[in-house]
Amino acid sequence: MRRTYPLVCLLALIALLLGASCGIKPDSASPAPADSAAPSSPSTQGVLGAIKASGKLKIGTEGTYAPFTYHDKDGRLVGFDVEIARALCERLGVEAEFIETPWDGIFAGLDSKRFDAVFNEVAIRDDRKEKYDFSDPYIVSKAVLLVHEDNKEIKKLTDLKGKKSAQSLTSNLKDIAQANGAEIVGTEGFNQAVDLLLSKRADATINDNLSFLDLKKQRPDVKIKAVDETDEASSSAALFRKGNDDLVQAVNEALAAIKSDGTYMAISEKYFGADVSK
Amino acid sequence: MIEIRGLHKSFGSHEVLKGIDVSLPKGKVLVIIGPSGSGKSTLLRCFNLLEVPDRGSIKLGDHAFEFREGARISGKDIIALRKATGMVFQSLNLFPHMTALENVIEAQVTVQKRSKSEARARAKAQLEKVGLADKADSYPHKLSGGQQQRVAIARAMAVDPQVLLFDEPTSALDPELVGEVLKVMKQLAAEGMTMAIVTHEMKFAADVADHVLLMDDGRIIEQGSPQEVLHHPKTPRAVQFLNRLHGKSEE
Amino acid sequence: MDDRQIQIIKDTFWPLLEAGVIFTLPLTLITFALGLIIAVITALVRLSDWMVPKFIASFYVWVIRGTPLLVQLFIIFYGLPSAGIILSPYVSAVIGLSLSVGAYGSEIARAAVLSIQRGQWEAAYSLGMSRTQALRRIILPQAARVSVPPFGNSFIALVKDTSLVSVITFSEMFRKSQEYVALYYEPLILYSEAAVIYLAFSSVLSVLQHRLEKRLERFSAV
Repeated sequence: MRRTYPLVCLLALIALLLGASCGIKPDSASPAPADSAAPSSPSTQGVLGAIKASGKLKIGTEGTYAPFTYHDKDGRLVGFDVEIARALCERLGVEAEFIETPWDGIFAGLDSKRFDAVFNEVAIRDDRKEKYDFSDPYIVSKAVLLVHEDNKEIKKLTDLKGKKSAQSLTSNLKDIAQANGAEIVGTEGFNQAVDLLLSKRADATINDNLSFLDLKKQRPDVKIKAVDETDEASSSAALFRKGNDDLVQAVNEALAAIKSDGTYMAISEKYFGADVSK
Repeated sequence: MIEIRGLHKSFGSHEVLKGIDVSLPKGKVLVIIGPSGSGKSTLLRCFNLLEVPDRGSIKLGDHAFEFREGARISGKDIIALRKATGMVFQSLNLFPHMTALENVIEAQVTVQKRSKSEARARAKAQLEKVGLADKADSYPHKLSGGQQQRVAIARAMAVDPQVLLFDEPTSALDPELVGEVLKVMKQLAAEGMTMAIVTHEMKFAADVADHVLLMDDGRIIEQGSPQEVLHHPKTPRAVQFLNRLHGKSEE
Repeated sequence: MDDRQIQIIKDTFWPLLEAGVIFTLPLTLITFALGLIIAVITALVRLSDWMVPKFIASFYVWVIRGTPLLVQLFIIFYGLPSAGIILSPYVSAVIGLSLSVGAYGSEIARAAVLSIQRGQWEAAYSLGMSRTQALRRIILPQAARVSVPPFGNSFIALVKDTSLVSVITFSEMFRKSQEYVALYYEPLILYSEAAVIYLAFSSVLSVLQHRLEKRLERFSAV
């Protein structure tokens, strides 16, 4: 008995492993079934054709960036970007399959064809345009300068000179902060930036106005105030690998369609109570 | 039984055996003595090839080996030789994760391929012989040094070796425990077991040995009957060594 | 702490615990089991005389111990597709974590075997055992006992290392806590909840390790 016991355990574990790799799917995003995930082949078809044939568009998104892409209390994936993506897919006649990836993995995921599009408040920037293709913009927002409630020194963007600003290192908002002379404190996301502000480890952060509004909605007492906003608004759009012109075009057509038939406005009102396309 | 000719062994640049010739007929007891560093342990460990000599030849029963620089000895042959020998160590070396009985059973089953029940019966008999039948289910750490060494002897005997080798079997034991081990060894000798023993116990050597070798610095400097070697040594080094030893044992 | 925060804890604790039990724990168990097998095999190869396998084993240990686990997971999940190998998040996580446990574990196993006194090998050999028999019957059982505390350590560290797999889109407990942070903007509270659950898991494992050590004590006076 003592001899067979470890063997039995081992076999049980192996069985568990096999079962799990088939059975367990982590909640929202279901990973494509084991190794057959190679996006279907023939380059003669073009990616759009392949997507239509398979009936799904695989979309990379964070799932941890409220109110654009996040999970509600019941765990469902929701958010402005998510619902826009779903509406567009409906127009295209395919299902939206979201593969949740932290920001650091999103570009890698797109490159390695784990998904074919990214809907995640990806701001349109020239350096990104060199490597990828954007759809037409689906959201326009200004960035706001946020400081601790007690902060009396920083009243506008130019006051950032020499001060510490919490920014995500790959974001265009970081460029704005730097352009104003701020010293950058790297963060992983908006939440961490908020924490840094509250603990006064950073003097300020530049972030999306819409995120700030959502923060105030969730935590009305949070000791953070907006003191300035950027002149230029930045636009975000869906991101694609280069060489998928047919897909980009189809998405643009769908976007125009949902703007004209009111679907876009409905989603925009739902999340922001305003029209965020301008 | 055992014929050794021209054995040489070096560890690195240090030559430890400088040409040894030994004969040990069946049923006889050979005792090897000498100062530390003389190579006596190394010599004994060549008998079962725990050390492989650089040069020379060893014949043990039906097993014969020739050693030359660069010549490889087959593992299978070495194992075959070891099946014909048993060894008892200074540091006891019982298997701590097995009871005394299991220690004695182990090699019978694993190496000799006997059935478990046969091995068990023989093991019990061996433990009985060394006077430890009642300790069969004890783990080694619960036994005294003397008891452990007796189990070790039983373990070595259980595989029916042609020769038993003892490498300073009592040197690490408390003095009051030495006697019980020597008693078992004497009994084995009386029963006609071929034995080669490295020891410092002079009185025991005198009682039990048929042939004594005195080694110094890698060579045999005296050999003969216990009377000759121990009481009438010829070489000055031997005299020196024995005087020191006698001085000690008279304390 | 205000009512809102208390409510958050009430709403999120159970789902987090559930995620831990369904995803984090099985992942830990499976990868540890596989890692243990890899560790023992690698250690034995490195202790053997076979030149080529030895080199491969040493190379593997060197690479895995010398690079961050996060990077390894990244490469398996995002890098391999360009070589045509596309693995699911779960399989990637299992492979990445097992290889890591295997590499560090092989040093534990190797040390454990080396710590067994030479006399044990000599006694085994003098009885006519081959190297394999000596290993299997005499050395490994003793080495196993010596290796329980460091492997227990490995196991407990692994529970927390699983939090890294969210990077390769495998959603386990830590990822779930990140989702809640995004929703409620209360990172300290939510990460503390996750920490409590990790602590609970680790404590259970510590107790099991202790029990195992006690069971193995009967062989030895130490």
